[in-house]
Amino acid sequence: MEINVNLDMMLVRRRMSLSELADRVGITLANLSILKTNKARAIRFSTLAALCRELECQPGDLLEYKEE
Amino acid sequence: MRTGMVFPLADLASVRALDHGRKPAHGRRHRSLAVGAAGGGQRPPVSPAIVGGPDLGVGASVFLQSFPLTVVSNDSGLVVSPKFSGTVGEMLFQTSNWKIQILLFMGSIIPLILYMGIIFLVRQFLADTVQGVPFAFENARRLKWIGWFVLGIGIAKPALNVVTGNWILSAIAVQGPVLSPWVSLGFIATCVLAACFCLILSVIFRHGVELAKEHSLTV
Repeated sequence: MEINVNLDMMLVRRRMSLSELADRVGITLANLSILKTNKARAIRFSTLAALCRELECQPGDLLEYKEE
Repeated sequence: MRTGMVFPLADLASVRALDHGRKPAHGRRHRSLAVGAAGGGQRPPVSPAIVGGPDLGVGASVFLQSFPLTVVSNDSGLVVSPKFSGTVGEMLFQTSNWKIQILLFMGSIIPLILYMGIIFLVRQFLADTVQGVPFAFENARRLKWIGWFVLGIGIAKPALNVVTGNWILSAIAVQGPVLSPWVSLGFIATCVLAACFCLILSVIFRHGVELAKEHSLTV
């Protein structure tokens, strides 16, 4: 079981680039890439809140639970 | 290579080296032992039997007499050069026998190799730490090896001292106190504790590596 981060879909919907989102959220592009490629081990609530704020969505829109 | 034998003195009357055939004419006498300039020696620590003294009350004093060291004869080219200071005695032995020289050399070279290994590992450890990556598996591995090297020094150095000391003492005879190889328990204990500290630190560093990896993947 794993948690997938649907960042690509939200970026397309909001017509935003990864680097622009990284600047707005306040994290590095490298860390955002780690999140986007589902390699992150954990995410801080503050980061999740900032992502939801900038992408105007709910955490459920970004995070998806899948059973392997 | 010149080294000597160090031992604490309590009551050292004389040292009589084994002599193959040569006997002193009148008891003990001073005799120079010029057996050649070339050769190597060792300085393994030895200690005499404990000799008790009178209990001293307030105002009482006792004169600690220095004891003459008389070498009656020599054996196998051993040159004895005593030097006494306080309660520590030192006897310098030299020999031209290459087999003995190798044995004595091993007593110094093995701890030296371990010391150099520790310095090399510490240097690499510091280089990684200065670069900002202290918590790495390599550093944990280096700490583990440092611990084993320290333990090795704590065991090898006293063991080699005992071996060389026993050999040297087998070549000389001491009248009065019984000389035996002296082992510093404090040195051994310090090395064991330092080794344990390094090994425990190595385990902690491994845990730190996991935490650092977790942290690096936390967004």
